[in-house]
Amino acid sequence: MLGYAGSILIVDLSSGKIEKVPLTEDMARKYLGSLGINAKLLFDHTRAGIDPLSAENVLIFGAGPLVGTLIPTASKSDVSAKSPLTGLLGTTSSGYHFGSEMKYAGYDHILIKGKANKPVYLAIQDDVVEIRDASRLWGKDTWQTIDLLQEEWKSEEIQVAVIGQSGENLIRFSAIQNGKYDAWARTGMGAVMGSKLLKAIVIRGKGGIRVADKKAFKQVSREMRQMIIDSPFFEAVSKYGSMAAAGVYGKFGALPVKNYQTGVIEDWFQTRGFKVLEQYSDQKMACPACPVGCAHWAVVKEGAYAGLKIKGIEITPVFEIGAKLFVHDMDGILQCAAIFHRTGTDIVSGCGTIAMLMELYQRGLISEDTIGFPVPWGDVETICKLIRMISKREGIGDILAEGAKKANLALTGNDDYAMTIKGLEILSFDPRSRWSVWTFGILTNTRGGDNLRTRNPVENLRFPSLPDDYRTEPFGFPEEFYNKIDMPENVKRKIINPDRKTTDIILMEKWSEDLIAIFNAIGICTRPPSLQAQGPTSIARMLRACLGWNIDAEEVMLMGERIWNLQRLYNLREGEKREDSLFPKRFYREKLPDGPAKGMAIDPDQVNQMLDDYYEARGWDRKTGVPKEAKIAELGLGDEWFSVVLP
Amino acid sequence: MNKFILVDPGKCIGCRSCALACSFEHDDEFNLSLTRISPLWMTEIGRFIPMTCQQCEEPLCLDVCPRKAISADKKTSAIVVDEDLCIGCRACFLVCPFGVPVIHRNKGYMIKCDLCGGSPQCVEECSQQALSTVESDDAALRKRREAAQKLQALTEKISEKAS
Repeated sequence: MLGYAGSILIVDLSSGKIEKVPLTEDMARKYLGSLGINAKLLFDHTRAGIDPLSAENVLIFGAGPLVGTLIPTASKSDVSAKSPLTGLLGTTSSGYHFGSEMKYAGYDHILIKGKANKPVYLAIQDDVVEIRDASRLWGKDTWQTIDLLQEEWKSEEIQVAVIGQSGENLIRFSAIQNGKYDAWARTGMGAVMGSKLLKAIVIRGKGGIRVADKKAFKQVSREMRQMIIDSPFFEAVSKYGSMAAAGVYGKFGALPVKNYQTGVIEDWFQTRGFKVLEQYSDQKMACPACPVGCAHWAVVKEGAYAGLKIKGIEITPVFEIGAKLFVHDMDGILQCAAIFHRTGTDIVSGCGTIAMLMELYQRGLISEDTIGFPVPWGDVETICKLIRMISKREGIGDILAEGAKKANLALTGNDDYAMTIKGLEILSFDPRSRWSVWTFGILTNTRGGDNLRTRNPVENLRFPSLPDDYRTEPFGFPEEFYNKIDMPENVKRKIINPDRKTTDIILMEKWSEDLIAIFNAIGICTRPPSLQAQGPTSIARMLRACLGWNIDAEEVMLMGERIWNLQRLYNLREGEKREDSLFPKRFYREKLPDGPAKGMAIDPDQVNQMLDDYYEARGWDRKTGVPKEAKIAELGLGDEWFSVVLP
Repeated sequence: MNKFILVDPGKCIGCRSCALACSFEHDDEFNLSLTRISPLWMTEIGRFIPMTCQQCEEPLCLDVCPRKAISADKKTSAIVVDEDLCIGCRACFLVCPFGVPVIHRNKGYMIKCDLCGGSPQCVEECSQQALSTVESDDAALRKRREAAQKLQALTEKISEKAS
């Protein structure tokens, strides 16, 4: 098959059986790739209600049809399994080189099932696949493991997916590291890998990917690159990466300061704003085929952590460590980030869990004796000590390893300070400070409390949200921009108000969820400026040139909707209820104490109304959120639907 | 004088577009083991350095080739390989100081940068302007100009400090 590598690698660690099965054209045409096919494989290869850390769970890596080619930003791969943190769909995406290396080795997907009887790693060199002993690697951190594997393979070109101590010790929010500095971080996929006694996957591929129409492919790939470069967001993001937005969040008072107790830090911009980047880095780093290069190679030159070198200074670690845990300086933020990477621990859930503990301590709800030492906000050494204790389940770390919600319940009998949705620690942006497609999307995300599966391509951060209006957010772009949005005219008019001042949150939620599902299925980047530059029309063009399919924008969006609904059906099968769609209690109970959004809290009635309307817009039952028969027929998900509604 | 691909390591962001464009042009597929240019990450100095053929004025590969399969192309001045003559003996690989010649995995003959017959695709696809096709005297002048700018900045700094 053109574009695709054409095969799924299935490895059963219990029996040692390794098989290579063809990826069928039917499967590809229905679920496209990566996230889409991962979700389908997870649905079919697991029974309802399994223990996520048992041998019955499967761990699936997927790289989409455009990954490994010259299509700009096409580098993302997705890892899926049943999540040990939420009990629902686990899914997490990462860029860098692993996805393309999978394709070059000949695999669109790698599905791992069963459980080894001793620590092993999976060695893949094109057609040669071996399960190798990993006793000497077990217990090592991710950076040490990668060094040892590079030595063993005598190659720096190998791509490595690896767990640290957190994954080994079944920390419910452990990550799988994608090389030393990138990760499939969310929803605890590291613990699933650890439960299988699988320390790492090493992959080296020397094959190639062919496309349907060389000339058309070259042309569309160049045009897409130019679109990205011409995007109004390109200059800032290309220079400062995701940090370009760090100041804006500060301006809205949307920072998750000390576990969301306030949204404001006085000296935020001077100490943790984008300009600080320049003191640490003069080298940008890009994922394959990306013209933006939003990552930076950072070097700590002086102070206690002098000599630390790390790819980073990204908005997420800076918000999580710098605001949520209140670490004042970039040196300290980078040091904490390095320990998260080395132990293989999700920074967002890790910070959410540690922040919960620090707030309990601040309020005197937990004593120093219980913890064993004081845990003041912003103390870098204390944070690093806690991460290490969590990763080894030592002392209080054993309780924290269960995630913020369960740990909060275990420590105080309630979950008042667990900033989670459906068990997943939320990241960054405080919805009280700016209600939008992005913040409402935390509630509807198929993987729980996280906003990275909804990106409103016309979000305009120059404007604050509209007070008391839950249904719309400001649009505010010029006519020229409006005209260029890649969206069918009839849909565009419904979503964006004709006077072009507002965007309908519900309708845009659905549109952008379906669209981002497609981004994650083909493997292109969901961040600005890629987000604004690519849409269903250009994606259809890319797929036509790459795969040789006769596909249009409408079919692209239908595939996106199918993938979103399949994820929904999986979650319903695993027991998700409407009642689970709740923001953390703090957002309803406590008004923001200061900043531009002072006095704002979330109105539960308004949110309920929004959920009703969202379900309706999706063709789901208004109250239960179960997809209706008509929608299922339209999407061709009958078998899956029947297995959920008529178990 | 031979044209060659001039690399500016300060600009490369490691996206590998050059490498992908190269195998796509020559072999109609995206394949990093068939590429004639490789941007390599050097952790110690924190830089990507794209490595490809320097199109030497006195190429050792040409000298050692037992089949006289290597020559300078009349039109582009690139050092090129005659696929029919090449026997894949790797003598060129042994003498090349830059590790440029590789044997084509599927076809058995040596492959190296041929400047794509005059318009190198790696240069075309580089979004960072880290690559350019130049003659070496022009390259030298460009390097001198950049050095002069650095020198000027340095002089300004010194005079600032002095005053």
